[in-house]
Amino acid sequence: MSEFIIEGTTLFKGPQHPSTHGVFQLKLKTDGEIVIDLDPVIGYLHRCFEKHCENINYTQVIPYTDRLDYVASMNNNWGYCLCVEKLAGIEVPKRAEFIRVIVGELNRIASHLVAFGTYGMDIGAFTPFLYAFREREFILDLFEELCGARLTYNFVRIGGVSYDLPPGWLQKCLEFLDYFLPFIDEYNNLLSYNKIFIKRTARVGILSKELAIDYNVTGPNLRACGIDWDLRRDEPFSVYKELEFNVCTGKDGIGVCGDSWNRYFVRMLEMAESVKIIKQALDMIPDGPVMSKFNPLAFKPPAGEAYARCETPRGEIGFFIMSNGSDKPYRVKVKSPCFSAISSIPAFSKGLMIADIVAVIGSLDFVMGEVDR
Amino acid sequence: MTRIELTKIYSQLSNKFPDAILPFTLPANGDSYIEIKQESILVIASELKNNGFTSLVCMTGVDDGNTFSIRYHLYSMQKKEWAILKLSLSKDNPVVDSVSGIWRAANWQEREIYDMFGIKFIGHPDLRRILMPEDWSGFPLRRDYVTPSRWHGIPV
Amino acid sequence: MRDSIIITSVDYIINWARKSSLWPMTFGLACCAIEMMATGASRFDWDRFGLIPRATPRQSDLMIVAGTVTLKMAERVKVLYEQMPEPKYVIAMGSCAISGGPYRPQGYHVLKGVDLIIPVDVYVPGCPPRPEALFDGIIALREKITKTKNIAKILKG
Repeated sequence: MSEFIIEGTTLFKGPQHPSTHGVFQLKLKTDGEIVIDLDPVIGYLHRCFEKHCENINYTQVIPYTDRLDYVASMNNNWGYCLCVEKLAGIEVPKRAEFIRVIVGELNRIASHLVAFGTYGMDIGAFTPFLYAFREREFILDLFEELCGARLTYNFVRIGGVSYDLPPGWLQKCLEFLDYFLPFIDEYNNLLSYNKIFIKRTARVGILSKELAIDYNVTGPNLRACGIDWDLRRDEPFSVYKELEFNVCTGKDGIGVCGDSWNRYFVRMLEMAESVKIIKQALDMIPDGPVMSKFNPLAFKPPAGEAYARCETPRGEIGFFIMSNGSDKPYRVKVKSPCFSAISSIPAFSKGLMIADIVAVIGSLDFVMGEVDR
Repeated sequence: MTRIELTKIYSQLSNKFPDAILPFTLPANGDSYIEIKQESILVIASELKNNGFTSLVCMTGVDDGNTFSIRYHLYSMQKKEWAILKLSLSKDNPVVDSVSGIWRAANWQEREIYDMFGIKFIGHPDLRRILMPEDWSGFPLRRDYVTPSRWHGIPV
Repeated sequence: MRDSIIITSVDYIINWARKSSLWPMTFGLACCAIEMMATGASRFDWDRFGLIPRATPRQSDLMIVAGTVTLKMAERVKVLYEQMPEPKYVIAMGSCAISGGPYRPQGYHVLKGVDLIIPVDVYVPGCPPRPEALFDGIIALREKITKTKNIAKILKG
């Protein structure tokens, strides 16, 4: 008897597809509804970030980092500035560090809200999207008051932040947090514990611990596998050492560790932790300058290279910067968390149904601007 | 943030593989790195992987002018320790062994370095362009790269 | 009889129908797509202009090019535009879609303006434009549609 060979049909999903989170293509090889092989194709948003960095000076790079992960611009600015500060040995004033923590965590909430809303939309629930963007607008209002932009802030600068907080901003921030906290329960009732949603996501696309570490998957996707690892606690940068918070991990229960439901739910838990962090930071924030003494126009870090990473809503973003003593960086490399997450999709998604692939890529929550750079 | 110093891990490695590692100097500024010989990457990589460096955090290609170089940023989550390897390649024939059999994260990172610098990785399962279109000519992040004026009839 | 008869020109009624139900394609490229989503969401709500996003080009009238168009993507954008039925309109949202924006100087893989491959009706500047700016662009497009002379076009052949 001859061997049974499955030839399969090749299906192209994307780059224009409502559930691909940007311009991302999946080449699926299917046997009926079952996906037997898949190959992610990226590069549809390759905007030559690293080439641009070689031709502009250190301060001019910051607006480009805004556009890497455009849903969490503050955290990207922060990651880049951390690396330059490490390379040049710049001390950041205490007040600026607290402002960074506050805006970074606010941006984390905003980013997780987008993740929650669009994930609902991918699965087929349109209402969570409207709920999520309703609260997100209030965060954008706060940012707008701070730096004048809604999406690309350019707020965290080398050696501090661009402006001090406007009068009354801290109070407004506190009011927002008190207003926002009850909504997390509402979201959970709306989507997280919804029977249909659980059927679509729980025990779907299980990423094991070993695979996650081997592929260097980071952030909420790693924690959903049950690995208790968070840069903010385990390799604290800025003033996270002084703040108290829990690291949320995935649990067996409604789903199993590492499945799509846990990846989604870790983000919901993290929003509450972020609120906790911001409330502490609002209490502890000292007075003082927000920028260290340093002239951005004549800024030339000494020759050398540095690697620094920081915990963004999507995982650990790493910046590798090489300086040759001139005012322009010799080489800037971004290690993107979403790049690793996408590269791991083929390893754990074979054998799923086509509709489950949507649940998997939605739960990884990537932003293509950061993957392709 | 304090800079990464690798004196301890250097002495461990140089005791075990004296021929594979080039002399170590602590740079005046920034992170240090362990320079290794091109042909010994697989030996050193598997040794480090067995010593707990389970994640390949970042792989960077650099055009140093006369040579290419690659940085491997390795991290051990148990020991909270870094290892940074550097290896230099000649520009005429940039070829190096692939570490994608040791860390799976290297698969796409090596494809990206191939795409941007044209460095070939021996033993890579699927070495093709990742960011640029398949039929693109040239390697954009090389310092002497000249952008073509048109691609498929579209002005660049 | 008097209550149920409206006398108007054919042009007016056609243009009124077209401008009141502009269905855009859900087609986000980059950063501007997030602002486009915000425009469609709770606070700004583009439903009140008759904009209902469609997931396929075959059912849409309007393409909002929201974000940087790269060379790899350019051919796809062109195909998507060609798949849309007539009459079709294009809004170039954000400086990247207009001219390449911040990625113009060294962008070896960036299309320097989407108007190099498809015709554009309205340009909305900004990086990214605020939702209000996008609304301004949509209103400008509605005005443009109002001025179309459909019958004269048919008679001319």
